[in-house]
Amino acid sequence: MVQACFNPPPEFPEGDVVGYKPVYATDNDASIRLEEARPIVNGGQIYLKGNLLLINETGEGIHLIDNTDPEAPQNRGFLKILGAENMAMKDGTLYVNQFMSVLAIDVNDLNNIRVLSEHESILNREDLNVAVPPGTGYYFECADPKKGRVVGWQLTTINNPKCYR
Amino acid sequence: MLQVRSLVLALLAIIVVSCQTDSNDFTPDLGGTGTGGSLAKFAIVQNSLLVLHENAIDQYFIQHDGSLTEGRSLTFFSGGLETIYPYGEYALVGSNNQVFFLGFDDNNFLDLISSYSHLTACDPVVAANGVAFSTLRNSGCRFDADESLDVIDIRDIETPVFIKSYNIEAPYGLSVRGSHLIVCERGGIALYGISDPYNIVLKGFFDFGNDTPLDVIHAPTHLIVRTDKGIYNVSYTDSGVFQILAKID
Repeated sequence: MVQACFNPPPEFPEGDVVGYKPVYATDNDASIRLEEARPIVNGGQIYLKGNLLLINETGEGIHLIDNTDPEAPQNRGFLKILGAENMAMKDGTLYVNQFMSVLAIDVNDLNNIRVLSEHESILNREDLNVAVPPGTGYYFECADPKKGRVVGWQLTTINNPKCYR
Repeated sequence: MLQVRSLVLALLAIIVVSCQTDSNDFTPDLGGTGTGGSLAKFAIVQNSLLVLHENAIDQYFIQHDGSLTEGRSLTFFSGGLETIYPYGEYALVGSNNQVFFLGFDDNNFLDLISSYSHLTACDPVVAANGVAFSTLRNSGCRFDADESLDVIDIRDIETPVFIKSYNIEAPYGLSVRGSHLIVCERGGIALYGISDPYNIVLKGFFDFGNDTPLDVIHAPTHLIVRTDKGIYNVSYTDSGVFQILAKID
């Protein structure tokens, strides 16, 4: 029974199923900067610090939402961090991944953000290879190299998946 | 023509300046740590940032200036690590076959304290007040075990004790605060009363229509729900009546 979770499924479901969808690079600019607010397209991880809500735009950066009024949240800006999928905050420092690296970014002054440290992952691990989605036991949309470089994976509803891990 | 262009540039400059003024109006308090969803792979516990990989957890020490230095890396040969959740001075890790409880040794290095296993868990774990809640989803696993919500007594975190398992369908993320547990399940969100962990009570369910809720965070007065299609602010009452306040876009 336990094995079933690790082995490929015997069949792929027809129609809609929750799984991972590859997000392809729209550019290759890895500079980290504050940009104007943009619409949320491929929403990922969420993180709340007081009235500030961070929403990951899978593989592209982090939306900064003023959630002071939950009936009228304000999209205030976008921190462009190519490859970002995961984040946490402490005392005005944002911890976020950029592909395989873990960055500490001082965001106390949004007009003057500074990278404080950058670490390549201690071990080079399979899951940091973005050719496959993070996590097992999920169907996923097979990546198509013709569409460009995969910068991240969004957990969403996909249609007739042909890949699984 | 040149003059017109200058005027346009001047107007654009004014617009840009006024936009910046606007964003300066919002000055959130950034002291301390915040709250991630139950599907998070980063967690801050005390002075450590913990980064989850499929078969390992990297610890980084957070220095006074906010920068990171390397701590310990724990490898889990069983693999399948999925989620990490800060719980006081501990971290709870959901994997596809166990829940791991992590703490720190006398030198503040990350350490495995204990683990708990029950069938095959494909989903996350959260905890409050000595009780952990873990959802087991088989939707992607395709075996015939029941999907469930497991309740675990972790008052003594060195010896987690199974309390009870509740049948639920297609669960994803979950969030606990006080006597309320919110679970993303059945394409909606459910509120459970957890005052008595031996007898948790379904109080209400909200069908999200075409969206499938995947994760949820408790804000002080409402919920933030991440679905497969977007992120929403949602209010709820003690009796389990939900209302979408806004879609965040």
